[in-house]
Amino acid sequence: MAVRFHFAPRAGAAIDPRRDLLLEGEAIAIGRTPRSDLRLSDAAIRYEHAVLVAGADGLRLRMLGAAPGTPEILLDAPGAFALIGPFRLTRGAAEPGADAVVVVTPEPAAPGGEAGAAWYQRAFDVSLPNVRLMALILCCVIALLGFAVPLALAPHVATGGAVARLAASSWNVGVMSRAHRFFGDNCAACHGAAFSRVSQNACLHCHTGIGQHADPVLAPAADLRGQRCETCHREHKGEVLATRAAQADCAACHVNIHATAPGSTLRPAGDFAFLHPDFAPSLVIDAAVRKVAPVAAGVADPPDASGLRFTHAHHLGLPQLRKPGDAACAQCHVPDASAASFKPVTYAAACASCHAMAFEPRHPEWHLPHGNAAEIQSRIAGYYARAILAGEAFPPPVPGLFARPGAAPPADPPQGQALADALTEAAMASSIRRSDCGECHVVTKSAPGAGPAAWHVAPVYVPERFLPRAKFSHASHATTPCATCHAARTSDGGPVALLPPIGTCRQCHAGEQAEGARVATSCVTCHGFHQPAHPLMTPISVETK
Amino acid sequence: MSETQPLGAIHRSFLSWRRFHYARLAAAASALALTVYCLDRPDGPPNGGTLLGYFLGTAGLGLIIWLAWFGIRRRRYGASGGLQGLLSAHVYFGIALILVATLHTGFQLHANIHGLAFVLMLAVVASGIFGAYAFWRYPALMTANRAGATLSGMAAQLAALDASCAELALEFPDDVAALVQAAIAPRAAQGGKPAMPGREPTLAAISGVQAELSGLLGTPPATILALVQALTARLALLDRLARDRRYRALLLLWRAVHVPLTLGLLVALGIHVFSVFFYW
Repeated sequence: MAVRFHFAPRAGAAIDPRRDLLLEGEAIAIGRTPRSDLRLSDAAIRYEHAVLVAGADGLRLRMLGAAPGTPEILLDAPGAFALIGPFRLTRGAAEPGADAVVVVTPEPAAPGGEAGAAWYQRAFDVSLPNVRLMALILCCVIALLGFAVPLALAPHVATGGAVARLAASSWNVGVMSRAHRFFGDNCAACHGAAFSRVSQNACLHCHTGIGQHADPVLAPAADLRGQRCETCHREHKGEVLATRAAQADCAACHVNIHATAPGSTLRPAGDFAFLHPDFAPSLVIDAAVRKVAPVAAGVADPPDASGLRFTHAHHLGLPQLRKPGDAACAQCHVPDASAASFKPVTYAAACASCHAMAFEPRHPEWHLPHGNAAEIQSRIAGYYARAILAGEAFPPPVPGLFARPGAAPPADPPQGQALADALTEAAMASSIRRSDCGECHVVTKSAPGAGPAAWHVAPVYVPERFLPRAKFSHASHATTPCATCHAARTSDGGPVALLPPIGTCRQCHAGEQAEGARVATSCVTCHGFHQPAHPLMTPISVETK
Repeated sequence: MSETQPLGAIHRSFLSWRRFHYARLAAAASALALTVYCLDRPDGPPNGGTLLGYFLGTAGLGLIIWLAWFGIRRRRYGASGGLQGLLSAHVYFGIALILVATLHTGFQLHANIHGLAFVLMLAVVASGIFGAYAFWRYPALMTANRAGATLSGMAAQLAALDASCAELALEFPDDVAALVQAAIAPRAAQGGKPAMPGREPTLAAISGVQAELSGLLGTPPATILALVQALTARLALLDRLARDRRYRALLLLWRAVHVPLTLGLLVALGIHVFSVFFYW
């Protein structure tokens, strides 16, 4: 079999006669290998691609390496063609000198495709994300979640759910104090109109009864009405409400208090170490109405009208109370629950163990109640009446302290009820007035007769605090022995002698700027600012919103 | 400027502009802010609501707006006169902003809009610092990597190598030729951007072609060596192009973070200021 191959540069173009090829053989190998009979150099042509064989019915093209059962392509008549890679093999018209003619033309290339260099340049391009879109999305998300949602949900925080509270908290500028946190999600609870600062009324809505700092008439500069509480009390600054308490703030007025408040009775004060008046304890001036007044300056041992006869020096000198150190004090002075102060000293707790109220030497078991003159009188009368009825003989009481020697005995000694009455009056007069009650109390007979109305025990008032304008905690000073501040073992005077002078405090405490060995002590360490209990202070009225 | 200016110094000079003029200014401003902060004794803990806090907040806001304005200023034609100095100031005052803003917060950070603004500010400055580093470091590396060639030159070189490889591969059996084809054939662009070619197909082709040397096939050894050489050169070029692309990406991508975050920061900052004074 002889097959002549014609080659055309493209479909429809003239055949290039210089490339004509006549191949003979039973089978013509077509492929890329140089050993092929018909070599087609193209990447799409396999090394050994196909074989052209002669069949009974014409030329047959058998693909090599094809799946079994792939039919051979028949090139039986002119015009029949087969595609092999990018080439088209078309059966041509018969020509002399050849058994068959095959025209090889390249198939037209597929449209599109890029030149290699441009392709690679694009392949190694850096593709930026859409920066503007990203920015737009980010801005919108922040504006929506950070602005629109909290603003829209703000009115619904009080009634709304967790989302509204979460949205509100996104605008919270700082940690809320523990005291206000329970309503902290509800911004509108304090923040009224937009862009205006929190008003005093917002605080006073709950905090009723807050005192003025000073009498607004006396010290108009200290008038707190209309002031913003936030000037001193700063919310959103931490778990504890930040409160302005600088010594300089107080000293600004108090150093020259008479210029600020001309009518003030206060003395100038600034730094605790350098400018602070001596302590002026408040002493009782009327125990009946529990009235106290500060001691005037310069009075060494002013009278104390507490109504009680008592000296620490005497008691601490008694053998049964003589104990070392603070143990002696602790026999009567028991700390209260806060440990900052002491429980009031009562007869039952502190005095009764020594001062049993027995009045009749023959009957030491006869005890009297404390604190009620009527009951005392009735109890004494009862004791004597019962004893006389039981047949006990009592010598009739002698008028006066002693019977005059040689004096005739009473002509007609009282008997029965008359004896009991006489004994009762005598007991009230001597024992109660002088030795028992009278030992501690001022007892007077203000009316004739033996009834309880005849006897008057002066009211007793021992205030819990002698420096009521200052805070003091014994708990904070628990490591200091009592005697460091209180000269109780030598004091036979009143409270003033027992209280330490300011110099004692200054041994450990100095002003706010103290450095080194002394404790820095600001004004508010001891003094409160708002003074609701002070006579001159008036609560700030809550203005209606 | 010394005469023995090292390669790449042009890219660094914005950092050392006028002997670190703005670096010194920014350091002085930071030191001042820190000193005042340490001396300040506000009521309660330090925070944005104290007098100093308001001052630092205002200063920080002003700084942020001025720093963001640089993005507009640098685009303006004819701005080249002072742009390098402005960039120097942008970098150093951007770094100083971290301190000013942190002092403004009083070292408090909470999960809210204020904390978001602070975190965004940190992210913007961090991306900016990376950008400054990139402009200080990568241009020199890029120049060295390109070794005098341009990007399009390297791409053309690669295409030419592909053609040589394709030509040479015709002499090889199907399996080897297929490997070479797989290595060099550009992936068809399906409308989008062509994928960056990896190095593995070329490596596979090299080993495939080398295996031919020990085979008994009829390819002449000179052809085999030529193809191995072409493929190896292709591999080296691919690596250089990939490195070049990485440098270009680093020089560009930080700004794709810096700019959107800056705009987000401006929005968050606006809300921060609004909310603080809305609930004054």
